[in-house]
Order: sequence, then C-alpha cells, then structure tokens
Amino acid sequence: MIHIKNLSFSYVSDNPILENVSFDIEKGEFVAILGPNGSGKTTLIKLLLGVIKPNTGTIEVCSDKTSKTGYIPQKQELDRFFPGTVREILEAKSKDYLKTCEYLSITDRLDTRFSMLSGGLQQRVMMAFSLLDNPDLLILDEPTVGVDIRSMQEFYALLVKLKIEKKITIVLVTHDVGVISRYVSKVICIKGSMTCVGTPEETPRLLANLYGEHFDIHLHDQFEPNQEHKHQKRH
Amino acid sequence: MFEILGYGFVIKALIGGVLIGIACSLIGIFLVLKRLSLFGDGLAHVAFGGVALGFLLGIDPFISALAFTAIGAVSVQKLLDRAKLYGDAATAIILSVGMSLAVLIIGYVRGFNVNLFSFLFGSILTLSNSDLIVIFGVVAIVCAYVALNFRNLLLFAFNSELLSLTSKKDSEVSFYLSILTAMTVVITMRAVGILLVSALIVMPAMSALTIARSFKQSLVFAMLFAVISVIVGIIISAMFDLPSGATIVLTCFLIFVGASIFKNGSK
Repeated sequence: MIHIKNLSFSYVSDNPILENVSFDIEKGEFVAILGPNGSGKTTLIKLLLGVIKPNTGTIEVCSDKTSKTGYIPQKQELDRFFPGTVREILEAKSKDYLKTCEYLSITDRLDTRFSMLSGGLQQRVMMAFSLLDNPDLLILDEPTVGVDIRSMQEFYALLVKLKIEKKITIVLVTHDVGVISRYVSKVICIKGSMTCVGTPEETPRLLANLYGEHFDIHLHDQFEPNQEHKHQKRH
Repeated sequence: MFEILGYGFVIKALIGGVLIGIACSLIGIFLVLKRLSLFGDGLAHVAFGGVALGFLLGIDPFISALAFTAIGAVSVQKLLDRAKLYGDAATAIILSVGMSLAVLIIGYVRGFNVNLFSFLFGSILTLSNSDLIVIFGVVAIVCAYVALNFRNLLLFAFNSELLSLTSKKDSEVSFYLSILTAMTVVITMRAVGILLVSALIVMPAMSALTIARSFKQSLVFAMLFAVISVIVGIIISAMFDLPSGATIVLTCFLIFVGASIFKNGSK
C-alpha cells in the first residue's frame, strides 16, 4: 500500500526534516507513527497526501490508480460562531452521506451545528467526512488530542472496525503510545534520519532508540517519561 | 414618510444600498469566520489611496480604486501565504501603506479635498445611473461566485487545511475571495464611506452568526439584516437630513444588539 525508500525532505536547504527514511506499510495494516514534536510526522503526512514532493528518494502510495486516500486532521479549535451543521459539512463533499452516517451512528446529529458537538463526536463527523469517497487508505494526524479517554477509546475501536469490515489501511500519527498499542499491528518511530519499525510490544525499545533515554511505558495506558532518569540527566 | 419615495435619488439610493448590502453580507460571513473582520477596513484605506490617485491622474476614481484595492487584496494574501504573517498584521501593513499614499497625493496636489471627503464619509443619496450599473455588476459577480462555489467556500470557512489537502483549492478560494472583497469594498465606500465600510461588512454577518442555526441560514440572515439596515438608514437619513452612512451603520449596530439579546434570551 505504501512503499517509502530513502526519502529525504527539507523546507530549508541544509536542514532536513526527514532524512533517508524507508519503510513499507502493507494493505490492511493498522500502523501507528510515533515521534517527538518536530520529528517530521506532519511533513510525512503531507508527503503521503502528495501535498509536497520529496527532495530525494521515492514514495509510492496506493499504486492502484483507482485507490483513494482519506485524511482526518488534528481536532481543531473551531470558531464557536461557525454555523455549519453536520449535514452541510458532509454535503459539501458528497450528496451520498446517509449510509456513512448510519455506519458511524451520527444520523441523529445531522442537523446539529458542528461547533456544538463534543470533541469525540466532532472527530466522528470528521471520520464520516473522510470516508465519503470510500478510501482504501485512511491517514489520521493526532485525531484524539483534547478528546476524553472514553471518546478516545471509542474512536480507536471504530478505526479497528473500519480496518476489519471495510479493509481500510490505517496510518495513525499519534502521541497516545500506551493507548494505541492495543489497537495497532505495527509501530513506526521516526525522528529525522532515524526510523525504527516494530510491533506494539516493542514500542518501549523503539522509543528508547529514538530518544536515547529509557521510558517507563505501560502499554494499554498513557505513558510518562522516566522522571527519575530525566532528573539525573539534568544534573 | 412615503413622500421621500417620490424622489428619484432616494429610489436610486435604496436600490444601490440593497445591492451593496447583499454583497457585503455574503462576503462578510466568510471574512468574519476566517477572522479577517478588518480586512475590509484595510482595503477601504487602500481604496482611498486609489481614489486619490484617480483624481491625480484624471481618471475615474472608481476604476483607480478598484485596481488599487485589488492589488492590495492580493498583496495581503501573499503576506499571509508567503511571509506567514498574522491576518491582522498583514491588514495593518496594507492599510497603512494605502492611507499613506493617499495622504502623500493629497499633500502633493491640493484642490480636490472636497471630492475626497465624499468618499471618506459616503454619499449614497447621490448615486448616478452609471454607479448603479457598476454596483449591479459587482453584486451579480459576488452572488454568482458564492452560489457556484458554495461547497468550497463552506469548507474553506470550516477548515482550509482540509480543503487544501483534499482538493487543493484553498489558494484559489482565498484568491477569489480577496478580489471579491476588494470589489465589494469599492462599491460600499460609495454608500457608507471608507471609514465605515467594515461596519457594513462585519455587523450584519456577526448578527447572523449569533443566531443562525445553519450555514445557509447565516447567509440569509446576514443579507436580510444588511438590507434592513440600508433601507431603514436611508429613509431615516433622508427624512431627518442626517448623514446616510452613519445612519446605516448605527442601524446595523442596533440589529446586532437585538440579535445578541435574542441569543441570550433563548439560551
């Protein structure tokens, strides 16, 4: 589904955001992309969506020309005055939105102003928006920032349902290391020129490689860096 | 009250005012939602520079203002896109440059200050037939663009990043919206004057956004509020011999206060 080989990209010369990145994502996988702030995750999304082109290397997304890619952005701080209803937003993309709304159980919210919905429901609407043209690949950029833990779990469970029932390949950029480990099949950690690929169980080791320090990560939970270690490092 | 409707200039003012109100409210909704409420104000000051330049060169000030304002609008977009400036900072820069040019030209050539004042404060009661034709043309273009591009405009107001990543049309929408704002500002300064242009663009839109329950409803309410403000403002100003621009804007404000009270009352 996605084949990236020796990819490098920089906005300003001599300051590469991504350097020599290589990895593959197969059809039907649910993959989490992790990395510290500024590691190039959002740049990678723009490359996957074709908004920007790599300086060097190759990137192949959905080699089948009929394949489509859906995208769910970060939860936005929407203007409370934005008057658009869920129906109007979905209609702006496609007239054929009812089946998707039924599938995601948001039919009863169609005539509600989007800005009046909870964070979890807003992201569900964004998911409906991205599913309207039946994508084969779904890319999500930190979709659960600011969403409560229950809505977050429901959201990830919905992604698993999409993967199983609609055979959609899912690429999720996130910081929710502990939570996503129970849902994803592969973890890719990136930081500039470093790329580590492994299973969810290998996440602590991958992050240790990436950050160069030890993390106490409780998989299936939120994570915190090892405070004692950080304290020692500071001295 | 109905006697004043027998005067041709009042009828022309009402027709022109209603048309201008429609264009301002349609553009205003998108500017307010993109947090560019003072964009119209900035462009109005640029238009003032264009008017002064028109007087200096001896060409129709409407045409010079239109060209000048369009350049200003595109410059603001470039400052936002390329230099990544904040919207208010880009507007402030363009506003200052436009106004400075106007002051320079006024200082250089003295003698047309009286004509310039009619652009500063508006004179909708002196609209000519040719003014009405220009206003009708601009309003038709604004309405046609909004109707034909409603989906993209809605997504642009909702999340321009999403529009950019899914259809790559955000730059196109942003560009045309800037040009249409420039055209709307130029016809609006005839009605309420350069100093009050942004009021007619922002206040009906803000009143509508306060109480509307959908996007389409907000556009309809904004048009309705703008048209009511213009009609009431023109009639009152004609009846009591008051400045028309200021009367229109104060009517807009009263509607905004009413909408806010209605919103708080219905909570």
